[in-house]
Amino acid sequence: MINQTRETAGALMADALVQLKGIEKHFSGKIALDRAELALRRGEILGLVGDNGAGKSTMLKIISGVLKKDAGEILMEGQAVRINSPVHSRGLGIEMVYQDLSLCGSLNVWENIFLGRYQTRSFFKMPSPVLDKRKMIKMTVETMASLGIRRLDANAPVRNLSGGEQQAVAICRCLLFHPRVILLDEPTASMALKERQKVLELVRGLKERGRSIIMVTHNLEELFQVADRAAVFKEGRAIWQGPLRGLKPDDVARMMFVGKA
Amino acid sequence: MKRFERLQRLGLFIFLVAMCLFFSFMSPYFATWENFTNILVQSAVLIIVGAGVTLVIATAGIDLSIGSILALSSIIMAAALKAGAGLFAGVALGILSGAVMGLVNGLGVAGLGISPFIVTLGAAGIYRALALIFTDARPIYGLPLDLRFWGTGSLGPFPVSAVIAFAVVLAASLLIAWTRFGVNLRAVGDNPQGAFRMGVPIRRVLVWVYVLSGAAAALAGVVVTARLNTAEAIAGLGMELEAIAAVVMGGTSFFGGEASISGTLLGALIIGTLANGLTIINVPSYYQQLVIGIVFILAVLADRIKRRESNII
Ligand SMILES: Nc1ncnc2c1ncn2[C@@H]1O[C@H](COP(=O)(O)OP(=O)(O)OP(=O)(O)O)[C@@H](O)[C@H]1O
Ligand SMILES: [Mg+2]
Repeated sequence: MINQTRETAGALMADALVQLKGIEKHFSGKIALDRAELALRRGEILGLVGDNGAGKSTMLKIISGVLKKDAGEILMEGQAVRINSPVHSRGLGIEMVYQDLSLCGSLNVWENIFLGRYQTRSFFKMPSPVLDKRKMIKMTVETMASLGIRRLDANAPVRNLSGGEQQAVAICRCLLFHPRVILLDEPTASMALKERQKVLELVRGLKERGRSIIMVTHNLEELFQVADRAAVFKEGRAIWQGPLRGLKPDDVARMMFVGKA
Repeated sequence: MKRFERLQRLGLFIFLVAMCLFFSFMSPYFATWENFTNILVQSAVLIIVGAGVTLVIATAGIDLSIGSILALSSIIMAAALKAGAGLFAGVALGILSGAVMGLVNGLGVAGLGISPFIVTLGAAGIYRALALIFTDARPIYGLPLDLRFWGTGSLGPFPVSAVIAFAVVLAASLLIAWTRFGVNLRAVGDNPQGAFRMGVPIRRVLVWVYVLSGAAAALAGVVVTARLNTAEAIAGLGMELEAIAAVVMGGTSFFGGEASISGTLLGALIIGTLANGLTIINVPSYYQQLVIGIVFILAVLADRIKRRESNII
């Protein structure tokens, strides 16, 4: 299986949509990523698993531009890209749902969803900084409905929502702008079983519509439900990457904790 | 919401009405049209600076330099007028200088990453000292008479200063509720990291907030100077306490993320009415400071309770 890593990595070069090579990241002397590799193919769901502190979130944050890598490179469709801020990654069609959701509790649902890229009105065909609230509320309600959430007041402060509802808002926010690459950092963490299934269905639906997705999860059952391939992180490195077909959750668990197959 | 907020707003309103009734009962001079316009004029300055401070506090910041900015910008305006600048040019220069002082604050906060408390406290000392040094601690008298219109003139039945304050309130409310900047500034106050991740230019937002606060303080300085027809280096002394009290009383949270200009308006009117009423019933003005100090601490306590009531993300 270790061999397979090398094989798949080689084969991936050709059709990887996003590829990370030799990524290093230090936090004040402590190493969080140690020459980590990762490749995401077009139209797949890649599951990212690993112990707490293995570097999964750090890896995604480097792709989304929140953190700057110390070394390594990021390729998109084979071209080296520079991602120095969240604005860059958004420009490349990359969206991320953060593990902490990154919502503003005192802002309401639509304000959170459109944060940083508001719909504004134009007057006499001139653009203006004036918000088009009606449009944003309408889009919010529609997108939330597509997630199966219909009873939510778009004007309610996010602080007053349940954990699952907040998670839905964060997911809704990443879908609205039709990204090509979606990074989900434990998107179902605080959801009840039913909501969780809904999100997993949604993730599969996104894949069907051609989106490419990296999803971090601690739930191996969930991993096998949605992911096509997986990458196992341990101590800042991807120790295994490959298709899940033919594997059992136990195999993955063994790699996570023992460090080999 | 906002049950607590509605309750707080209602409480303030009742407090204001009760205060008016009390003062009317105590003195025949309180409940007159003339005194009513007096209150508006007295509150106008506080409303104008309060609007700027509301924006700052909404970003979870603070501006302790507004009183000093008010003084120094007034001095700059007065000096320019004395030197023969036209009325419009002098006023514009005064406001611009306030904006520049705010810019310096904003760069200290956003660029150097020093806490707003430290930056604006230091700046308060520096701006005040510059005002004193520049004037040798002597007031600048004898400004052009047409300046007085800004302080004591009236438009129809309303004092000009109150009209200016109203315009500022309107502009600030629209800014907060209807523009990109308005959402951005609340987001920065609520969760700067989250705002950054969503592409909000957090440093730029912070800098602009302090610029606006400085400009508002300078505009208030124009009104003060016009009213007295004198610019003084000690103008606006202690104004930050009143302004911050008005803002927090009005429901804008110290924790950032919320901004209520209408609340600030109400808070400023309460403080203005209190000052006016106490003067009319011959209570020495230092008691006003005592009351304002107490009210301020109560408002901060209410703010804490409000935040604990809702589950924090
Ligand atoms: N901002 C930071 N400052 C300092 N150290 C950090 C920071 N962010 C992450 N780390 C450290 O880097 C390592 C990797 O963290 P990361 O959040 O990527 O782990 P993870 O795989 O997402 O874990 P989890 O499953 O618990 O979310 C950890 O040891 C963590 O303590
Ligand atoms: Mg993580």
